[in-house]
Amino acid sequence: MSFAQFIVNGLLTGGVYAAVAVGFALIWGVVGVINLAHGEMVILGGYVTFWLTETVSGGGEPGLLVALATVPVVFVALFFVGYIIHLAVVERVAGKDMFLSLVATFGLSIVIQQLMIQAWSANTRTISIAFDDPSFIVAGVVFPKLKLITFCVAVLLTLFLWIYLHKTKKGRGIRAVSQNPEAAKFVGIDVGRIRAFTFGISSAVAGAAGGLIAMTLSINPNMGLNYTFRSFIIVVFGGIGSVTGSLLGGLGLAEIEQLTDAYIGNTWSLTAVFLALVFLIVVKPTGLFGSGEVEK
Amino acid sequence: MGLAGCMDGSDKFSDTDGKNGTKDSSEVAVEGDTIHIGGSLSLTGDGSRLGNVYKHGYRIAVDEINKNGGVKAGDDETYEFSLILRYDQGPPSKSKEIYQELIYQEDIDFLVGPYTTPNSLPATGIAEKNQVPLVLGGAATPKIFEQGNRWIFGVLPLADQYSDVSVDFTLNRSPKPESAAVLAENGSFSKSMARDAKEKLRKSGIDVAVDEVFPKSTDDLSTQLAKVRDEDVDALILESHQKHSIILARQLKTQKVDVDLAVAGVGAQDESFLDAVGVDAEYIYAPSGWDKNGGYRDPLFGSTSGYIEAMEDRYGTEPDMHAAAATTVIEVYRKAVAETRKLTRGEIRDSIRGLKFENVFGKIRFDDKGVVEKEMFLNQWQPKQQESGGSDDLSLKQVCLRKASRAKPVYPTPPWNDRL
Repeated sequence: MSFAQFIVNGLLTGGVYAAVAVGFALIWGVVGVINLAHGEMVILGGYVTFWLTETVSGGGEPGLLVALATVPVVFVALFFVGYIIHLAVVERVAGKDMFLSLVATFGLSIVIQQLMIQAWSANTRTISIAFDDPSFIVAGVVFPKLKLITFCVAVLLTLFLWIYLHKTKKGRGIRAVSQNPEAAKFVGIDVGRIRAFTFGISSAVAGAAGGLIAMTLSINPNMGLNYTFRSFIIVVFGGIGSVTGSLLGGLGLAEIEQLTDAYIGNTWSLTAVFLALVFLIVVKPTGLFGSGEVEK
Repeated sequence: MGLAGCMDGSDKFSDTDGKNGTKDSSEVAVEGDTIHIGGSLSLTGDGSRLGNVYKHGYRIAVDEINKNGGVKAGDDETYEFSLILRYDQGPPSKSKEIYQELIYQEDIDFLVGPYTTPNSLPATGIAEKNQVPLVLGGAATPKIFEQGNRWIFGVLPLADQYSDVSVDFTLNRSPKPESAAVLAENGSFSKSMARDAKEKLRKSGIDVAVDEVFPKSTDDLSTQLAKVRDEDVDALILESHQKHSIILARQLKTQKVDVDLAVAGVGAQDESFLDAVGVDAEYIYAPSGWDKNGGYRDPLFGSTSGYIEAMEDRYGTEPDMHAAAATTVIEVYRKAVAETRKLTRGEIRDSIRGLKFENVFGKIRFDDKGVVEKEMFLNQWQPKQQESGGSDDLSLKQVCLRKASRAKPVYPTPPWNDRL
């Protein structure tokens, strides 16, 4: 029975990983920046969700609908945070020496982390949602309802991004900038604006995913680096700029972690993930779905 | 290079190792009418929550001493306390550097510790080598006190005492558990507790069916809990800090793990734990080195409740065990200074070794290794009334065996299906 439980646990976690990583993939593919503050946007989204639910429920346990209703609010709030950060900092270092952008985004991550500590303290927080029965069991496998719901929301967020990139004018603009910024500029696309928009939308998806993490797992201001690190692995695994790659990379990473954890030991999870990564890089250096630009 | 250039002309030290000192460092005495106490804390990264707790605990004690006009020492002079805290940003190498700076450049008289074991180990090495008293408010790993150090003291009960109180309680339940799961964070403190717990459980004939170590960074224990559920163990003991205690409390319910008793890690006795997990804290056991309802007398704050009130007034939160431990560190120096005629480092060290006093943290005295001799407590989050409904209706009840129990433990814990 355990094997099925481990697979289910991996899938439910992987969906959220994917939603976190997809924004990281987009920023890397479109803006050309490895955003070391990406994990902090996830945690910031988690804290905004925490704050909103606390405010609405008056400190009590919010209902599921109240908690889920905060997701679009967090999405919009984090979009503006990301957009402003791009204009204020990232735009000035993008396209230059990669070291500069790494230092700048690392600095941003520290600033955001400290602001979160000041605002909400360094205590670990969770959002407890009122459920009569938080799980159901099918054939001996436990399905936590909230994790199942957040998995669905996370996958929907990822699909939303894929549809947005492929079916809207702005999405096509983003893909054009990713493929050839010079040519995109030549045909009248405002490359700077598209990049700021991409940074905003990536932060928004990350923040919304952070809200889901606060509901199902826990958040504290120091957890950001974990999510940045995981996103990096997922993106290299799935391919830079690839939404599909992020989704499958997220699910794959979570399953590798779960099964290693279950059958070898938790302390070997990272080793197993990197072994898989090294193998993939040797066999397919651009990742599963990557071409170095946002997928066509 | 020697740090002679950093010296103030006194004959304290002549090089970084302190090996070539022209005078025994233990003879170095307090100069002027202020006693300088220094240490480092992590205020960013993983240690930032407790770093701030310790900072508050140290600061309130120092300010209270100075507000009362200082300490009248055994030499009939009155001294104020000055606190110099540096921020180590996490890595142990930084901690070593800071403690060297505090001794060589800041000319501190006595040292207080960082919180974690990895950061405390280099600090203890520097303090011992330079013969400066160091009182640790955290870092409860036994190996710190197994190095034969003569200048190091710790006010927190050690890791093995934490596991002892949990395991002793488990072994004395009726019906006695037949199997157990021990989950430990991958850190020296937690692994030390887990090792002791497993050894004692096995010696008592209990099958440790699940024995798992997980990384500090993990935010999901569902895999480990799936194993616990699969093995259908009777007792679950978590050896970790507050973050994983919170994750455990939440996921026990969502993963439908029913055990007869679940002991969470350090920090599960704090209000912040209850704030984070709400009603999911129900029936969770929490070991602690501090009984905040103990009604102890305190020379600075009058009593435990006076201390709690002062901390709440100043910082807006109820102090936890770590804050009380930090305050105790300063009170140890205060008491040692008051009882010492000649304020040299050596005399203060000897004075600390012989101290016996009561304060907010309980009855304080140190054993031969410099470890506080103090009882441990086991608590359980229980409903205030039978018909409780939310986290506001839970309160922490002391259920341990080592003192007259104040509440009857709810054992075995009711299964989730009966609670939903």
